[in-house]
Amino acid sequence: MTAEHTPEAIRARIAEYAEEFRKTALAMHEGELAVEDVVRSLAPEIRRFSLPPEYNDTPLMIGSEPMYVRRISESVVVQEELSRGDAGLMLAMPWASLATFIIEHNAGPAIREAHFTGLAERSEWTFFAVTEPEHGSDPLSMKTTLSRDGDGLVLNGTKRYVGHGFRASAGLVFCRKEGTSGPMGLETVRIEAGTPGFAAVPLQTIGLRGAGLSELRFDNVRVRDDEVLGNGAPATRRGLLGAARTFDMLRPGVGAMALGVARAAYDYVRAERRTLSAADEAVMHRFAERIAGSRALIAAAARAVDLRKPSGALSSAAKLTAVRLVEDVTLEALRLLGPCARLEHPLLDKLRRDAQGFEFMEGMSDIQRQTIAQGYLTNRFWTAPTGLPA
Amino acid sequence: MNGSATAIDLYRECRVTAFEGGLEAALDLLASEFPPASPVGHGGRVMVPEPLLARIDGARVSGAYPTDTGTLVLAETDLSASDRDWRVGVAWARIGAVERLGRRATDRLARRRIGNSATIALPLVRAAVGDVATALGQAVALLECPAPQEHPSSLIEREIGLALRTAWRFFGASGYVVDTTSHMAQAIEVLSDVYAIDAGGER
Repeated sequence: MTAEHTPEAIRARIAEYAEEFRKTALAMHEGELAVEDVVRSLAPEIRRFSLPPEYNDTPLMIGSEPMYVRRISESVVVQEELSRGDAGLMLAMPWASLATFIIEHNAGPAIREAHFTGLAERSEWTFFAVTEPEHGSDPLSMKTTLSRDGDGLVLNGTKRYVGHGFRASAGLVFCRKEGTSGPMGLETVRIEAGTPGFAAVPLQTIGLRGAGLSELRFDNVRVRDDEVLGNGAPATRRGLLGAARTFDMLRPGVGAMALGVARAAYDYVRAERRTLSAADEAVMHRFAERIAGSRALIAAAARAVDLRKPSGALSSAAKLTAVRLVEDVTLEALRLLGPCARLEHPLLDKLRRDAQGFEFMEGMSDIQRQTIAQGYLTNRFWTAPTGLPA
Repeated sequence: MNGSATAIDLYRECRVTAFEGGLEAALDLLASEFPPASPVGHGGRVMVPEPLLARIDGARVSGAYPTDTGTLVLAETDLSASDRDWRVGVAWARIGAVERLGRRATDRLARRRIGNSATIALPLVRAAVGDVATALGQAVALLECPAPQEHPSSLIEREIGLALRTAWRFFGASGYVVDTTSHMAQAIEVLSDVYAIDAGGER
């Protein structure tokens, strides 16, 4: 992060785009505007966030410095601020897919080139399919299977709650090699839309509609050997361990989006209720403090990732704190706006609906609490800059 | 502060010292970098290891709070609290002390069993441990931020308090008996009264 890329400078710059995001938020939520059209109407610099510099000739400028949003500590500021504008559109951004992160770090040159060229030039979406209808995102229970017959590799199974699934041109599928069990038999394969046997069906959700959640079905889908990611890579970068590592790195971003929605609800109350009772003012004061606390924890988790010392427990704590905050702020905002607030304040109703979605991203709160406890009990909560001896 | 160590490094060391060696050692360390009158807290009260009390003119002992590693003496003075940096340092020490209490608690829960499971392995217990870590994590993350004058201090206090109470509850009824556990917890609570970063109700 350069001197010009301080969180405050990034926040101020991205705030301009957040205002743009807000303009289409309700119409997109109500289905009056197509998500894909809105995304493609945005300026190129915002559609190319986080792309490697060689694929991004229109980086966002902050002062005289280009910012490619390559650090997690930059990314969380962007995600928070854009989500303050509209978390649905934030999640609709093609670069917001977890697949991008995995492809960059684990894919071979051909897949990488196809992915980033499609993203940079055509704003193509990708999906990352982990969750299954009956097993959630528990990798050890996964039933989607990669097997080999006389003609090569075949994928079978069903994934659910997959972002961008129906609108993506390609994506990654987390699966188990037939005949294996435990953490080491898990693989990630790339599948292109239109491949015979592959179907993507959109799911209707109460909020965060820009995410484009989908159900994906794989019925004897053929997979080339070179579409298996990370062949030859160490186990720590593949399968279960690779995915867990990815989630550890990206979970602060989910917290940042939740924080952005919390701020939006907080700001909405401030704009609509110029005077509050002393008791309600105290409630708002506590929310302002919790916003600062959540932001500090997200920043700490992001810093740990940037220092190449990611802490799953710290990332989980960052997400947990933000999810609890957005839950409380949006509910309280409805109360503070008075009876029928959901009906009379459609934006607030949307914020409340969006808020509920973060609970289900990358592990629910009770799972996060287990992860945090495990890290804490084994002295892996803080990896940087402070820590306690074992 | 005397300036021989950067504030944040000293504060971090205070936390680790409180965890490893107890509150007395942490407050000794903190005092070594502050002027003698810095430990005067809210209401003119002081709560420090006894040898530090001699540095404060006119301090009158009014109580003693045993811990697992020694005793903190409570005293009254006619002075007013003025050194917020000291109180921030004590907040770091309190975090370390809560972590010390928490480690005793989780060690105990690892020894106890419910049916065939170690108590610490029960998901509800682990979730509560996760809440302790999250509360302390948020407090540390806030204290690590630049511009300490802008710390939302009441949130920091609430998070430390929440972690303390949750860790204390892990001891069950044994934590209610006057003994080492309740001594440690009560000393931390009184410290938080005397050295709250900012006094509640202040404008």
